[in-house]
Order: sequence, then structure tokens, then C-alpha cells
Amino acid sequence: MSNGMVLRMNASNLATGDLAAFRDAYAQMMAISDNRGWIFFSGIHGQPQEKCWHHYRIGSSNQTEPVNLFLPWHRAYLLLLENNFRDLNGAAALPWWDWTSDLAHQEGIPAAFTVPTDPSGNPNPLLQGPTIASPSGSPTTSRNPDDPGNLPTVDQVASVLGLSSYTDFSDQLEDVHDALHGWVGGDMGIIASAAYDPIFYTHHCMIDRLWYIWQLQNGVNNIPASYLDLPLAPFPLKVQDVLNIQSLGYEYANAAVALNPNAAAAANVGVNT
Amino acid sequence: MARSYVSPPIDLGPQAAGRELRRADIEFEGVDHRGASFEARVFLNHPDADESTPKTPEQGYAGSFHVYGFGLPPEELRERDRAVAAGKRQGGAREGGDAASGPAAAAPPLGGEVKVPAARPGDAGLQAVARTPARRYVIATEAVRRAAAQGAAVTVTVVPVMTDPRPPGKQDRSDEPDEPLRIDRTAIVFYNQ
Repeated sequence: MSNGMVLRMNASNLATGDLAAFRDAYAQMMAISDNRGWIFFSGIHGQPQEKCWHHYRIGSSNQTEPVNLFLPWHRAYLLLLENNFRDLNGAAALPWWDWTSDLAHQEGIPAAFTVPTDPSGNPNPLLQGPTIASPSGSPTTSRNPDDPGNLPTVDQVASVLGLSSYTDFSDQLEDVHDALHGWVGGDMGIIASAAYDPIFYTHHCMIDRLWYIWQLQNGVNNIPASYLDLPLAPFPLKVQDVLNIQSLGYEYANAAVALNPNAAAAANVGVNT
Repeated sequence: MARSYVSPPIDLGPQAAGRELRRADIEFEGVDHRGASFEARVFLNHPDADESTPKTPEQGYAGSFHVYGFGLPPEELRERDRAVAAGKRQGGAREGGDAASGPAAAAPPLGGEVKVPAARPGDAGLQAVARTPARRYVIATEAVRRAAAQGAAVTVTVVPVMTDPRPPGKQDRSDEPDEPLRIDRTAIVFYNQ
């Protein structure tokens, strides 16, 4: 941890101990069958609980206009997952998958998520997750990734980071996010089943990181005022509660370096401190 | 997979030519996002574009948006659409969809012209979300500028390219609907300041 804060790092550069803690948290969570466990938590997003927020929609019956809480909702979702992880392994932290990096454009999904076993020879819990929502009917998730060369580029992300309007930035970043789900394919390819794949959270950690980098440039509270008091069901949080990641107890490695006048370079930082 | 959507001609008007164009967006309202996920490739003045058309300026490629679908199975979508056609109260399906083209003017506020079905008691989750037609847009300044140089009107073609939600070994797509991609309204919006 950094200054008592949870430090989120690049999934391709995790130290051995950090990766082991992360894997251990996943493995423990997948072995729990109650509402602390994997099936329950993953089921919050798509099937069966269907709480996820994507694009514009009416969130409650007293709303008259659709709103888009994609970024704050998923920030809350990751926070709760990470809290669950740390209850199981105090050293665990969510890493991000930098799909713009040169490495990603060669290997695709980070190796930690594709090797069949961990260093001890046990099944790798990051490779696949138990699921009750796979369109194939399988009890575990699977992927069908596209060519790594088709992953988003530094320039694409830089153009999104260069948008100064929150709604513009959120809409365009969500489009990049949507493309990634399609790129991974398999269970990640549709909303109903995506969150049962362990790579889901590391993908969303990158999305959250990019929002944080944008906030450093455009203001932590830069979001439509009408959103602030909206609830992020089913979490006990409102939008205004999740704007400042330091207040939530975490930060991203190298964020100060990532905040760079050259946005193209800023989006390609993949080295931990 | 659904077939391509082709808009009626959209009159660009005088805004596209002879003035400093800071930004031009191609906006789509009422995009059907209930089923499979796909990349929506947008072409200008290329009504015959398909999956094999190169994504190059010479082909009129203006950019892509991506639909992360809710994954409702094709048979369920067809049942919902039949219910709407029969006039029953149903969620999500928009019957027909005259792809009205907007003039080259500011788009209406989000939700202004998109008819959001009233929520039923207890309506939540995917049922409610899938019922809300999606609004998407592509920032396509250079493509619109090129098209404006060719003439006063453009057609917008959207080619859906499916991202496979099925695991390897289950590639049969014969049960998928073969109908045009459903988009209710297309507009080109200019930002000159």
C-alpha cells in the first residue's frame, strides 16, 4: 500500500507477491457460496440481479430523463469487489489492463489471466470464473479474443482524454469500453454474462483509471450537478460519494506521470513505481 | 446478424461548406442494443458498404461505434417484436422505425424525441434498460468535411459487424434475425464555435 492507500497497479507488471495475493483473493472468493462469494457478486452486474449501468437510461421511477451513470456505477462496483478481496487477503488490490500498451498489442490479454496454472501448479483462478449466466450453458466462462492488433491505440485513448465535457468523455470512453468487451468475446461479449470472467474487473480498472486521469486534468467534481445525488443501486453510495478515489481509499500507480501534456504518452504508461 | 442500415439522404445545408468546421458528429437514436454485441461501422455516401469494405477515407469510412449488447436471444427478440406489432404492451421493441433524417441542425436534448416507455412497477434491471433505446454518436469531422466537398447531401450507412458472444465451437448463426439494423433517427450535428 502507498501511504495507507490501496495502490492499484498494471496487471502486466505485478510483483510476484502482489499477483499471488490477487490470485488468492479470487480463489477464495470463488470458493464461497454465500453473498460474499463470486457467483453472488458477479451476478450483481448482469444476470440474475441485473444492476449494471450502461449508457443512458431511467434509473428510478421518479426520473423523467435518462442519465448515464456508467463511470460512477462501475467505480462503486470495483470498490466493493476490492473491499471483498481485502477481507479475504489483506494484500490484494485490483490491477488494470492497459490494452493500449505495446505489450497488449502483442499478447492481448495479460499473461497472468491466460496461463492455466499458478506457480504452484494449481488451476489459475484468473483464467476463468464459475458462472450461472453463460450463453453456452457452461459452468465456467470462456473467451474468444480477437487479434491483439485490434485493441484500442494510444492515440484513440488520447483523443478521448482530450474531451473536456464530462458527458462527451464518458460517452466516448464507454464506446472504447464496449469495443473491448466485444474484443474479448465469449462471456465477456454480452452484458448478461461478462462479470463472471475475472478479466472483467481488470478491464474496468483501466476504464476507472482513465476516468481518474481525466479528473486530474478536468476536475474531480466535473460531472453534471444533476447526477450528484443519484443513488448507485444496489451499493450504499451516491454519485457524489465516488468522485474522489483518495476518499475511497485507493489510488493508481504512476498517475502523476500519466498526467502529461502529451496525452498520447500519458495513456501508455504501464510501468509501476 | 442484422443487415446494414442506410439512411435517407441528409441535407448538410450551408453549415458544412465555406465555414470553419470545428467538429461534426453523426448521431444515431433508437439503436437496438437488446441482442448481440457488434461494431457499427459508419460510412458516408457508400450505401453498398458491407463487412468487407475497407475502413478508409476513400471508402467513406467515418468511424465506428460499438454496441455492448444485453444478449437477449434472437427468439425472444422476435417474440417481443411480434407482440409490439400486435399492439400489445411490450418492452423494448420499436416497431418499424422510419429512419427519419435530421437536418444539419442541433440535435434535440437527449430523451426529447426518444420515447422512453413508462416503467412498470418493479420494472428494473435488464428489462428496463433494454427497453430504453440507445443513443450513440461518432465524432466524424473529417469524414463529414470530405462528404460536404462532394455534394450537399449525404447518406449514412451503418454496417453491423458482430463480435461473437459465443464460445469457440458454437458459431451457428442461422437463428439470428436477418433484417436491417434498427436505428430510429440519424442526424449530423455541427459545432462551429
